[in-house]
Amino acid sequence: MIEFGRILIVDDSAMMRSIVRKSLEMAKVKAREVVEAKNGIEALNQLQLSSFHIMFCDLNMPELTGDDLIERLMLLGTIPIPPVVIVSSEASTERVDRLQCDRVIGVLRKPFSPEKIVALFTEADQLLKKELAS
Amino acid sequence: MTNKNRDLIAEVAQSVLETMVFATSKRDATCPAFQLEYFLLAEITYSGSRNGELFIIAPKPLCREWAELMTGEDSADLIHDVLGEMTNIISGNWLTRSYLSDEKIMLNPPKVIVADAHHWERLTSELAAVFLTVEDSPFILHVNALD
Repeated sequence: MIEFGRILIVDDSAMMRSIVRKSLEMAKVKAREVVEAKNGIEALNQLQLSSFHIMFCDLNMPELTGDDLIERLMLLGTIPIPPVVIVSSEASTERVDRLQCDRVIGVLRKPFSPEKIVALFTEADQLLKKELAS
Repeated sequence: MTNKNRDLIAEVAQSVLETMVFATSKRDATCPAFQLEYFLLAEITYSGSRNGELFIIAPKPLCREWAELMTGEDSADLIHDVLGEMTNIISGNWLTRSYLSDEKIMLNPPKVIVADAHHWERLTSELAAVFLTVEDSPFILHVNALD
């Protein structure tokens, strides 16, 4: 069992948000709270309201794409960016690389297995602990 | 579409369907019959170093079954979402297998509508489409690679 804080799932597909939730259960991740957002704008609002410990973020979304969301957060500099896991169907990591954001800890290519999620939580946990210690 | 491309897209779709919805599928040689208001059509375009579009046609009841399996909800509202996302995933995986990893190809958000007779005629030619049977239901793929 992995105990974790608050998780934000950002995807325009209700099915994908549900799959990420189910994968968390299958990976035995017990979150304090899981919040969903349908696009980058909703995610931005959520991140302004309160802090999260990890964000699963799709790239291709209407209103505000995942990469635009991260870019906006970096530009603003006032909202804490949680460790980010990009969830994408695209094989090319060009869009993610272009962001040059050290908060992006990994890319989950769809379809993905719960085992891959476990590894990313370990990485996010280490990053948060390191930040707390410094 | 070349035979090699048809084989590859069929293989990718079968693998994604098995992983996502635990569905077994097989290739078919012929096109199923059209039924009015019965099929959904998903379209996704890709752009960048390669351009083209991929279409998937699947019956509404099959999409509804998948929606229930994946979300736990029996909701007619989710059937467009399910087929759109499935198309997105199949396209991404097919492009990965088709082109070199350094190619910069971007997928655009999928659009899903109810297929009409005109779409059916345009997209189900036996030379350009791949026909699968998924859990006794038809599942049709059509790729239009522009370059």
